[in-house]
Amino acid sequence: MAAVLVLDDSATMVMSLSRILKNAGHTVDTGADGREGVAKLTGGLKPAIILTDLNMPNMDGIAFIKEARRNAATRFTPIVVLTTESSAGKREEARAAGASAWLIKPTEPNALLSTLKQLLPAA
Amino acid sequence: MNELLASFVTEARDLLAEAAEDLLALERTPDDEAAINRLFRSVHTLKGSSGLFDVAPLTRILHAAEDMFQAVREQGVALSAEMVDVALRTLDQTGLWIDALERNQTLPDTAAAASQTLAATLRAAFGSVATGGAAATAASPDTAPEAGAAAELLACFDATLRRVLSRESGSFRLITYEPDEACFFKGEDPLHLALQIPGMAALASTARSPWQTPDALDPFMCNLRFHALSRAGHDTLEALFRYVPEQVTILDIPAAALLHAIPAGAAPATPAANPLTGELLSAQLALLDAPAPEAERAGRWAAAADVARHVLQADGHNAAAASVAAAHAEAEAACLPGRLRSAIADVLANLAAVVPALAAAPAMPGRDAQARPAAEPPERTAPRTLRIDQEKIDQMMNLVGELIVAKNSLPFLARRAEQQFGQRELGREIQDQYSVIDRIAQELQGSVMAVRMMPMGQVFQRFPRLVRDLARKLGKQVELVIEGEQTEADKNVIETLFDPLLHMVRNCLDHAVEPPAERIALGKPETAIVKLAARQDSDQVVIEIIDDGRGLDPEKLKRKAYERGLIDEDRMAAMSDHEARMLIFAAGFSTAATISDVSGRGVGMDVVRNAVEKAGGRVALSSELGRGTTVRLNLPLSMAVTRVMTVTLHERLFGIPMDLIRETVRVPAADILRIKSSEAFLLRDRVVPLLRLASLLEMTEPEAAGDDVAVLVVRVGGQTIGLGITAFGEGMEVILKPLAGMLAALGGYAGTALLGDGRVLLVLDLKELIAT
Repeated sequence: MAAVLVLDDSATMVMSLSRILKNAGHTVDTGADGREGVAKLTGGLKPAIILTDLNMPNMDGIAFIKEARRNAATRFTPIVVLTTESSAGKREEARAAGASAWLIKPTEPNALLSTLKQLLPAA
Repeated sequence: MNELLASFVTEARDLLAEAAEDLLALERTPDDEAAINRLFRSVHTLKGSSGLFDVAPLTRILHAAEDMFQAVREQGVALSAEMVDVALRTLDQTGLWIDALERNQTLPDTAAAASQTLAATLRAAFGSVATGGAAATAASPDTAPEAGAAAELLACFDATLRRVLSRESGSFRLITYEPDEACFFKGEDPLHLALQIPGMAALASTARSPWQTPDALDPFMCNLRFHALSRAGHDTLEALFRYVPEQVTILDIPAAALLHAIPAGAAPATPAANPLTGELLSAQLALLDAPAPEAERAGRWAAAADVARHVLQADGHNAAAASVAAAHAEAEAACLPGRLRSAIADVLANLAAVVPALAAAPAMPGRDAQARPAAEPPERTAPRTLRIDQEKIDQMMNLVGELIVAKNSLPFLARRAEQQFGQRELGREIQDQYSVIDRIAQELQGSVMAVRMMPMGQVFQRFPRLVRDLARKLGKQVELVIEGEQTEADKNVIETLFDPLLHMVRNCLDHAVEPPAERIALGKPETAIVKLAARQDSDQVVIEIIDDGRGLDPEKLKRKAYERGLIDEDRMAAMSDHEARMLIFAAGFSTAATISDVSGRGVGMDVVRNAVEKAGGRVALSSELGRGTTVRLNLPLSMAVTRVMTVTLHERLFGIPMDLIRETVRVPAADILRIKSSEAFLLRDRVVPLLRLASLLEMTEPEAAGDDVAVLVVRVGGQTIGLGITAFGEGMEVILKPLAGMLAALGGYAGTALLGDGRVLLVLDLKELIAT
């Protein structure tokens, strides 16, 4: 049971991820792009883990990760990149920006949940 | 429909519209970086979401399109017209499949085949190394198995295969499955998938590229290729691999042909075993044989299997490695450690021979079931905007309409209380209450109308594509400029507009715009400009279609109209240029010498005019020969509620649409001028013709000889006219219903409205009355 922030510009993807996460007992907050994500964080939201897409309008996932890492509250929050992108360059870029893990969507619910389990501090 | 799918359908439509727009923008300005980025993102997002559903054909074409845009974006591949064509076709196809998904929750049966063709065309269009395309071709069931290719593929199986085949008849499917390099990041498990192949007779794996040295090896990249022989049919196999169809080829091979393909005695090339390999394998056997506590057993098997597999792979015995892995999976599933042990022992005993898994892998709980969205009630996510069913808004609008009619009965009630029952005080109170309800009703109406307002962009956005396709078809060069797409109008008005606009734009491209060569000869820019502009002007929307084409030739139009018997010689001689141009709106008039399949389908601009006028609008036109034409449509912002003024004519009540009325005046009888048989009067030093409404309506009652005449000054068809009536009534809002049934053919009436006291008000169509 953890608070998860999900960022994706596809409402369908957000709906699907929320469903998987909520069924597993997590609480979910969502945003449609990096800017909304930053707004949530500066608004006082303290997620235990963040899932973000890379390709988003306004502020993309990489910029969001950099922004989140600058914020003291989320400096060490695990950030999972969830994307359809598979290029090694992008992966490296995300890792350098501070991403904790990389999953290719659509992921199987189990793969997603086990990744979260690994990244979340043991309850 | 499942809420997740519903969300996908809506999202997909939005993204498709954006993508089409960006694609066309990009074709005009190829170095528009923002457009290619947006385009890529739209398709990328759409592909991503499509992966949530069982719509592999859809995902496949989007994937191919994404790759194309990626190549344009990152590798500087120039976007050709052909690429745009096939990309647009992809968007169209996606749109059709989205429609199908909405209707049936599934794609049509033809989707898989159509998808393969389209994806191959896409990839061919941008010169991709079409691995997917080639695989797709090979996968089609009618491809004849090529003995040479088969033999090459079969080389990875070993001699034991011959034994299996010699006992079999019938045909086999030879499956080559080459997982995506990044498959591990997608939550895919290629080995697991390969083991699930039904009716499997043999399974082997090879490396796609030579194995790297351990320190250079990227363990997260899949370097395997699986080869399997199966007795199962094409459909079953395709169903298994439905998520990765582009990674799989399936060939039909009769068992006899297979035997033939493997030359007798030709043992598969097996590298000489490294002594160290044998040593390591023996160590694993020892490990398996050693007693282990229950809790450690599974871990030990896995460790032994992993080491054995890695050792074999490192030594080049890929098939053997795969069979160890397969045996391990089986051993785990069936809880039989012996399976793994004997597999390793077999490998060790004869490094050249691997016993193929003869039995089909046991059916395991489908991982596919998990990938599909669950059917339980979906969670709500906070929406950014509220999407409302149109019907609900229409229903609300109808109720508001009824409320307005109902409230209009209060003044009648007030009058009755005062006059019939002598209750002056009560009458006034009712009147006061009426004002309150009136105000609220009007605000309510305003709010509902605001909800129904849609930007003109909704209609305009369909044109760039249309103009592009048409221009290409006609061999003309046209740039479409759109202005004022933010201008809002009622949904009904917007919906009415599309067909007339479509018709006019078609006409414009077909007739008005010259071919490039002609334009150059005329000293005009090669590319014609067609402009669609919208703006709001008080309570009207003004839409203009402006071109810089040929312009209308009055003389030619007059001759055509005469030839068609629409006008006689006298009329032709007397006609002004403007009147002549307006002839294109006459019924039965078409200027095209030959009827083309673009605009001429027996309907002319009269259809446009009728549609616009039916919506309470009007059409104006100006044109200059050789310079271009402007058609202007004026439409009311809303069609739901009409403001009318009631007038009395010989004790009968009629309604006149308020937007035509400029003012009301009383003209002293003595001031009426008589010009031949017509009447006129002076309005602020202007002579205004005076028409008697009673005679327009062919009423027979004699004109009342009063001191003065009540005159309604109206503007109809660009002309100011005075209408003589008996008495002015009041202004009111009514819901105008068109005449229906037998009355529908009656000219001169815009429709009927129900009055607050239950009477039916006939609302006049002055344009028609005055024109006749």
